[in-house]
Parts: sequence; structure tokens; C-alpha cells
Amino acid sequence: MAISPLERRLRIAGLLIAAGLLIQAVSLIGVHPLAFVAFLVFACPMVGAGILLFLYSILKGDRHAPPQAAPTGPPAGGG
Amino acid sequence: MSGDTVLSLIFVGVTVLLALVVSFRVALTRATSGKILAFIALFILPAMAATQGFNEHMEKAKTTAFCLSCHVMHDYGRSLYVNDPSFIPAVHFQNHLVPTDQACFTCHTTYTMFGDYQAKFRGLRHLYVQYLGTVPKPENIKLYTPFNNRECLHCHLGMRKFEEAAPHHRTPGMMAQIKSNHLSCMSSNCHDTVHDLKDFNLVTFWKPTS
Repeated sequence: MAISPLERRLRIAGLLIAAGLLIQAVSLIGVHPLAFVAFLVFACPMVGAGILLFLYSILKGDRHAPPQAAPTGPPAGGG
Repeated sequence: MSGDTVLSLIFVGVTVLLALVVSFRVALTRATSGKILAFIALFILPAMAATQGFNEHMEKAKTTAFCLSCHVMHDYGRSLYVNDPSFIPAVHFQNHLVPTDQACFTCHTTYTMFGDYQAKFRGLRHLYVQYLGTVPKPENIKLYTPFNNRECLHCHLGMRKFEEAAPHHRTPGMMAQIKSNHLSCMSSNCHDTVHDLKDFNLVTFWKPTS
């Protein structure tokens, strides 16, 4: 099924967040300054970028989405 | 691995799982419940997980093991076991006057509002030197600024043994000078034996029995 630009951005945001959190998880296993640096340099920016992309996506909306059909119903009857 | 770390990893795992579900089943977000799921999985939980991860890393960065994980700090770690009570770090560490698992950080942080973070950002400079710069010999490592009495007074201020000690009242106003950092605790003939790596060939080392 084709996905809209909004959904594509959500997908990228989710992947960024997942990748960043996986790096975070690996960095939490050890006690070493390089683990802290990996968290600060890679994990935090990736999670932050994913969150910002998500917020940008939901604020921008989906301009290219097909317009929703107007609700159909019985014409308002007059007296 | 500590219980906190295990809990963090579980939380991160659940968050990753939900983020991947939203990524690969993005059509879910067309429904209202899917939108709520996306908001939780791509905003609330990641923000919480990253904050929690940062706090976890900050706590780990305070541990003695963290500070001593660089080879150049090895002798500083040994100085905690010097069998001589005139060595300030050793007497604090061996008598549990500082938490033994945070022995370095307890004295080398800055007791101000953002002191913990300042200390860790100074640590980033250490990392730069360790991996990209020229590592000095351990005995040549110096503090960036003279040690501030504030760090000592964080614990000693108000302590009877400190306030009433005769050497702290040798001259009028001496105590006021100490408290205002005008007279360093580590000045000559006071508590001036700190790590003193160059004296290691003259000392013995304590071996804890337990």
C-alpha cells in the first residue's frame, strides 16, 4: 500500500528513534567514558532528531493527502 | 549490571519495539488510536527513555570505576590504598569518609548548582586528551584550577572535629580565611599530601581483607 509523505516522515522518525535508543541500550551496558560519549554524540542526537521530525510531521500535516470526501447525507429538508 | 540499568534496558526495549511497530505499520496512524500510539511511541516514551538514559550515564560517570577506566588514572586509584593517614584521598577512602564507589567524584566535583555537569564536561576534555591529544605522565597531571575549599567544606563545615580543631585557630581569623577560600586547606604544612604519586616508592599499600 502506498504511503503518504506524512507517513514516510513518521516511519523515518520511528527508525531514527529506534536506532538511537539501541545505541543508548548498548552504551548503558558498560561503564566507560567512550560509552558516555557514544550516548551523547550518537544516541541523543538521533532520538532528538526523531522526536523533532515526528513533531514537525504532525504540525505540518499531510498537504498531499487526497481530500476527504464531503459527508453525504440526505439534503436538509425544508418545511 | 545494576538493577537500575536492567530496568532502563527493559524500558528502552519496549520503547524501541513500539517505535518499530509504528514505523513498519505506519498505516495504523490513520485511525485515532494509532495517532495516540504514535504520539506515545515517538514522543513521550523516547523523551522519557533518553532523559532516563542521560541520568543513568551521569550516575555511572560518578563511579570510581569510571574514573579509573583510563590507564593514566591507574596510579591515582592506587593512591586510595596508600597505608599512610597523611594521604588525604587514602584516609577518606579507607575510612569511608567518602562513598567508596564515588571516591574520585565526591572531591573532584563542584558543589554548585550545575557542578556535576561542569565536572563531566571537564571530563570530555580529558577524553579529548586521552584519545586525540598527548597523554601526560600521571605525575604531571594538574588540576585546571586550584582546589577550592568549598569542596572540602561541603562535608566538613559544621563538623565539630573541623570547627574545634586547634590548628584551624592558630591565628585570629584563620577559620574565616579557610571558610572564604583565602587560605587553602591544601596549603603548606596543612593537608598538603594528596595523591603524591612521586612518593609511591616510599609508601606501603593497604590490602583490604574483605
